[in-house]
Amino acid sequence: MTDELRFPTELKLWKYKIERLARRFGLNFHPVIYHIVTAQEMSEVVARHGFPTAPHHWRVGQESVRLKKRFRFGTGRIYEIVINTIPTCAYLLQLNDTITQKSVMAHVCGHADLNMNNAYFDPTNRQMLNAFASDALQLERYIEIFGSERVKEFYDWILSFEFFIDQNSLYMRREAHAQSEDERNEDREKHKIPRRITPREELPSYMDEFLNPQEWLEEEKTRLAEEIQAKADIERGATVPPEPTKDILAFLIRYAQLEPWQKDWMARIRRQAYYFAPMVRTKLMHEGWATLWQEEIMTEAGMLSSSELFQFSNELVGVQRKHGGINPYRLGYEIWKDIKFRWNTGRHGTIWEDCPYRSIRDQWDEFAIFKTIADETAKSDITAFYTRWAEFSAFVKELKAGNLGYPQELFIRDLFTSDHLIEAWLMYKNVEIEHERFERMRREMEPLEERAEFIANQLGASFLKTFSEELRLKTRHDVYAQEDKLDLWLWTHDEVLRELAGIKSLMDFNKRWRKNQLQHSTIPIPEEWWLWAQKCTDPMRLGLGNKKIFEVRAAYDDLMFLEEFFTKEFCEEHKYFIYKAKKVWRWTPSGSEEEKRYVIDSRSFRRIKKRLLFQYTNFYLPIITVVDANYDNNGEMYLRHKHNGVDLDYWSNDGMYMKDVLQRIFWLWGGKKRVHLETIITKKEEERPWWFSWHQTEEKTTEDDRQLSGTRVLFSYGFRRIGEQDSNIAELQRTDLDKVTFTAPF
Amino acid sequence: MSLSRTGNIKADEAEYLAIIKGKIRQDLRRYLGAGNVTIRQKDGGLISIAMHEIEIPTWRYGFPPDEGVGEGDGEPGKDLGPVDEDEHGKGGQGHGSRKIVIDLTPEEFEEYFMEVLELPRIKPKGDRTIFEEREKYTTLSRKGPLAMRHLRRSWMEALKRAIGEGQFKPPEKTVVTPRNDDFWFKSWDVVREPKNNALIIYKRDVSGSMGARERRVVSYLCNLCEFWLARNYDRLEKVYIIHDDQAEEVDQERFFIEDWGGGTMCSTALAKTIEVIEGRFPVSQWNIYSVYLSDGFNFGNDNETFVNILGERILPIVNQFSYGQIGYTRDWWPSYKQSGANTFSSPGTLGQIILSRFASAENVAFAEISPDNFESAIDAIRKFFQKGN
Repeated sequence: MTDELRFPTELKLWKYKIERLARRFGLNFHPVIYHIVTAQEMSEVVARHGFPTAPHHWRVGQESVRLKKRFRFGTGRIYEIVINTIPTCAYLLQLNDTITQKSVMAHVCGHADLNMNNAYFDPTNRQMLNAFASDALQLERYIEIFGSERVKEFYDWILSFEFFIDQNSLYMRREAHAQSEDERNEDREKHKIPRRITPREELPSYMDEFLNPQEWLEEEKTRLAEEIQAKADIERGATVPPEPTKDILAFLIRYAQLEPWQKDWMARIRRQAYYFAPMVRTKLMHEGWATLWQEEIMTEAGMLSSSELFQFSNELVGVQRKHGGINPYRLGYEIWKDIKFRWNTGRHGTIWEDCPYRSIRDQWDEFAIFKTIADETAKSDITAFYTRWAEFSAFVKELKAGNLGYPQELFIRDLFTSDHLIEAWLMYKNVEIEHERFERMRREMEPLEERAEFIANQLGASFLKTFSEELRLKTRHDVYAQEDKLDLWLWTHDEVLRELAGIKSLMDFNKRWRKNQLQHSTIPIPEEWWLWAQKCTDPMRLGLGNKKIFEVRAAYDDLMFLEEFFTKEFCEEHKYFIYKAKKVWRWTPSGSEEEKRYVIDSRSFRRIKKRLLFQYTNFYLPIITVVDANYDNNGEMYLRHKHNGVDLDYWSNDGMYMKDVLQRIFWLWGGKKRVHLETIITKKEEERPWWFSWHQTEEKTTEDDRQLSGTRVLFSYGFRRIGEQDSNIAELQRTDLDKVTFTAPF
Repeated sequence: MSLSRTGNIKADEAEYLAIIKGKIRQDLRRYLGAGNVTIRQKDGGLISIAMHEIEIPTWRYGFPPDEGVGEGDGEPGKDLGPVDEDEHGKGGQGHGSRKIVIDLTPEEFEEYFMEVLELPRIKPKGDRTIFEEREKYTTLSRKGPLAMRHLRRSWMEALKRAIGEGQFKPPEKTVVTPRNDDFWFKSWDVVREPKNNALIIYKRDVSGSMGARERRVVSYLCNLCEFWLARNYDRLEKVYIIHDDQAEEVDQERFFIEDWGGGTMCSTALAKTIEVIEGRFPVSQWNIYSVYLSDGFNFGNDNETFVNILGERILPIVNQFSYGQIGYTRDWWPSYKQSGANTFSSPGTLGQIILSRFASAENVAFAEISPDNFESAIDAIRKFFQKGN
């Protein structure tokens, strides 16, 4: 079952075209290899996260069974899966029709591009295919040598801690011992003396007492002494781990008494977790990015016929269908579009955010263009400004009449004007340059196209019908590569001609304007515009949309992405809300019954944003650190849960999510010494945790942050103290410590 | 790169299924009681059990997914739909695990079922077997179609002829070809096989209306009864009878949906049963199971008639008579009761009578079915079949 048989030439040709277009738009990715698989195979591959081989485990079986069932009942079709390797592998469903396959290939290009260019992916091991295969093989060997029960049991244990890694450690160094001996001594000397505060400007000497009071200097000295002591302790090895660490697996590998094969296997699982970490971290951006470019590529001329275009838009909308919760495809996609739009139309920076005039915001596009024209001309020559403004007024009139290549219908509503006015004006401004550029391209392309045609014919393209198209494409690429004009190769001759035709109407407008053949009425300029333009001295920059999204592509992860770009306007425009579950009484034919239903709770932007940000923090996993491996000076392990407002689950399924986990870590730690986990609990016995209380009430949820209280609690798992009854049974204990208060996280 | 090595997913799936079937076996009572067991008629009778996935214990937030962020129109307070306990998106981890549906073959399920409900195998009544004649291809004959040639025998026949004629002289090599006369053809023979047959007759009172929940529980009960009988007998036939003050035989769909609401005379159902049995199902050949679902409400004078027919004519010929008491909605009952008229006996009366009169009978079973849970349906099955009739 080789792929050549299943990847028909027709699809291959589309693949070339789609990848060429993607590169033309600026995407940059490693070669992609597609595998066409049946639905069953797709479920199996997805169960393995996209890798053809992965170590055996029953949960792969569970995932596979579940996906096959879902597919069978039609509740979920997985369109594609892409993995972050070199070469990039992607899987397509065999039963998709051609439009869907093309669409999916465009989507895959987006994914591959983000994988390659986002900074968070830099340290990933792109030879992971080999790593996974080697892991699978190694597991087999261990099973052979050490027995299936032992190995599988151990594997199950460590899977409980699979995701508890320090995701930021990929990008920074946390080692305490990074310095050499001399450096450390020097450091110590430097720190013994508290650094005095020195003012920027010279002050009279008696001020020094107020800037650096004696008490503060004394405090600093003691504090520094403690710090130095702590550092010395670390070096001596008295504090283990040197600093609280989130990377539990690494900690166990280093300090737990495990056999070499166990340590090796743990290291492999940890490696897998770190490999997937950037993908989980940028999931929202990924899906949005891929959908964005899927749309761009597929709506490019020549990709779809008009009827196919209709089907495609429906599917795109379908994938983005809102359902109950957040659809990551949709949210990501909308944010990317918003960024592009905002940076294209100047809706960013102080000029936008601090603008106090409602009227300006309502007519932003015209104002933005006004500002650019003012920047260019008003300071030096006011008549030049008014000429240009008149030109703009005429331009708008012609645009709305449908004479400049944009259909008239696009400007019926203000919404559409927003989308296209600035874009059209920018194109017009640069029309001369663009015209020149495309003309030059056309001229340069013609001889190369002829040569490619000639060579292709020589090679027999006209005779070998089946491969002729592919042969032509490959020959063309080679010819351009030979001449070192690959940037030219990104365009086809037809596309260039089409662009020229598009520009033509703008050029005509320009000619007519110069000949004063156009009538217009000047668009009035309100007073505020002048006021605001003068206040904001920085030049208005338009058309930066593309540049901005490529910047964001490189440097952001989901959390930063949401933090910066999920704005109030965005939230309100797309009508986000928070919903909660309530018990309501409903009338049914057989009487009334109580049912749990979702209702809209609030549209408060602040609350929505806090909730979203919480969701995307740390993979939505609780933050648990190993604080001490020698707790109580008895070799006991001490873990701390950094409580950020939500309790750990210690009651579901008979407390499985606390008891079993602590039990496992107890076993991993040797099975003799106790392990402790400190956390905070808000749930009182027989009562609900804090989030339940306002669920069930009618009270209106407020904007303010709620203050909540809880108890600090220590869960520990181990044998009972010597001398007590049954001291050979290990069990979970819970000790309540002090009371704490905190703010609700959302 | 080929995907041929993906074949080894079967090992993972097998391992997983072994684990989860063990779990099903342990917890089957709970799944049955929760109504999560569905018998699929179409896929060769596979039994589907909806259950939670096996999760690897790990630290997670105790926050339920009951709150989240969504998109769309509406004011605060707007209703968005029922809470779906299934999968949750990225935002929440859910309090339960995800749902998964596991298929069991009828054999596996039967084994667990018997174990869990402690049901004995049904002992079919000795002489109630029917002999079915079947044609089986066990013999040979001289004539037949080309496709049914028995090549080996034909060749041997040719060999015999060749030896007889002296053409075949080992060790010389001879080619022996069968001629037309030499051919033997596979042919059929009539074979009588004993088959145990079962007939299940459902009877329901449709003068009251059955709510949606009731309906679910009742059809669950019926499915499981049929499953159990089908596993114990070679063949199962089903008859559905509904009645108010007249009885009628219907098909399965109508049985559950119909709602007539006339007066109520329960004995008509029994009369109809007898009619059906005498007409189509000779008692000597069929094991008959009679299931009567009602709320025990009846026309006052009819109670005696019912009991007489039951005792004298039905019980002698059926393997088991099972009475299931369900709750109906009769809107007019409360005001009628207040008026003090006595034409109709209150709901539950018939059940009481059956219980008291036939408590010691060998083949009568009584069960109460409540609409709120499927547990009652499971209890009913136990009661119906625990004597092994």
